[in-house]
Parts: sequence; C-alpha cells; structure tokens
Amino acid sequence: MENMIEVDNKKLEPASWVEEHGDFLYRYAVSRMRNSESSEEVVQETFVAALKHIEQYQAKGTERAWLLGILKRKIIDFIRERTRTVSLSEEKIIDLPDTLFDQSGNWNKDIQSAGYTPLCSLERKDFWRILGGCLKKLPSRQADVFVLREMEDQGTATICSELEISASNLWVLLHRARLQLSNCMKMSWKLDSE
Amino acid sequence: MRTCKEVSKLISESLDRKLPLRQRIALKMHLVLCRFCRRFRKDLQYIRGHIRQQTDDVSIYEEKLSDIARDRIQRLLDSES
Repeated sequence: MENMIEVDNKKLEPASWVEEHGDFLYRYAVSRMRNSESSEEVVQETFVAALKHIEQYQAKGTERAWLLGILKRKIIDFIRERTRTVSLSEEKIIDLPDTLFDQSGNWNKDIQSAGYTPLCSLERKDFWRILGGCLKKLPSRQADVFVLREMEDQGTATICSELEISASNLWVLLHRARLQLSNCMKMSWKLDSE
Repeated sequence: MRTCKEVSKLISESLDRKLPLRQRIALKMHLVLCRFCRRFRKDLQYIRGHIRQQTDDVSIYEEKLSDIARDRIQRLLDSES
C-alpha cells in the first residue's frame, strides 16, 4: 500500500527531464527516424508538448513511459509530414527488388546459390545495428512505412489514413521494403562475419 | 503456378492481413515446393518477432543528444516551466 501512495503522489520534474530522459528519447527517435536533426527536433517537441499538457499526466505509469507515449505520437506526425514532401518520382525510379528475381520471376541465381544463413542466428546487438544500417539504404517512404508497421506496430488501416495512401499501395511499399531489408541484412551480416 | 516474385508479395501481405482463401492455398502449395520462399518467410517472421520483443529497448544504441540540442531544450523547459 505504501508503494501505491508513493506512486499517486509522484510529481513530474520537468527541470530534470533532459538529464533523465533526453538520451533515451533521442535514441528511440533515431532508431525510427534515422536522422539526428529530425530526432532532436521531435525530442524537443515532445518535451514542450509534455510541459504544455502536464496536467494530463496521470501517475499510472512512469514519467518516462508518459514521455515516450508523446514521442511516439510526434514521430508519426513527423513521418506523415515528411511523406508529403518526398517526391513520387524519386520513389518510382528506385525499384531494386527486381534485381532479386530473374526475368521469369524466380529468385535470382545469386540468392539461390548463396548458402542459407538464417537471420535468427544474429546476435541481438548486431541485429539492431544491421537493421538500422539497412533501413537507411531504403527509399525513405519504404523505410517509413516499415518503421510504422513493424517498429511502431501500427495497423495497416491507421498507416493508410495517416499517410493518405491506399491499402494496395501500402502492401506494395511494405513488400519492397521487406525484400530489400531482409536481403540487405543478410548481406551485411555476411560481410561482417568474413 | 505463381512465380516466386508473386509469392513473395503474398508472404509479405500475409503479415498485414488475412489473405483470401485462394491466395492462401496458392501460397501454401508454393511453399511446400520452394525452399527459397520458405526462407524468405522465415526471415520476415524472425525480423518481426525480434523487433517486437524489444521494441522499447534502446540500450544498444550509443547515440547521445548533442550538447547544443541539450542546452537548447533545457533552456526552453526552464523558461516555460
């Protein structure tokens, strides 16, 4: 019971937010946004929004969880804005997945002949480093939908309405993103272990 | 018979929605026969599983908020609180 009372009385301490949670939120943002400037921007926006709505904090969760919830919303907003400004032509030119298949639609010979090293044997630390590196190589829109779908666990309907794209468009983007990502991750991992 | 390229799209889509029956059957039949597509599916399932397991864990990252950003945000919070 004593613990509960303590939780109820817990106060937010904005003055120590940057010190306590700055790096955590920044790292979370970088892993999703893949760009340090935008990440700093959303972290700043998060703190400012938190301060503005400080009365909405209900001491059910920790201060950090509350801030993270705000950050996650800010990341979606930021990605939505960013998607609007990416030119479609840029995205159309880059259609790499075709290099993974031959003309008749089979996996190409390189992929067929490469020994199979299942990704699941990757170490945890390597997994995130390699995933981050490969996300950066994707066309931005593909990486963004992948982040929202897989890393932020957003439903397809939500993503479609946030980004104003059709479901079939989203499936195409996710398909391309996943093809390239899984291939890139295997390649990077192979290079690493050589 | 669907090509691997088409099937890879079905594999990806099956992670986002329940496929219509005909596509589900086509996918299953193809997977029985094609180990490359089985591998692709396995990799995608693994990537999803791994990400979801530790989605809020950022401890492996070493990046830090830059000093400039840190000061700027701190000043902002001090002035508004």
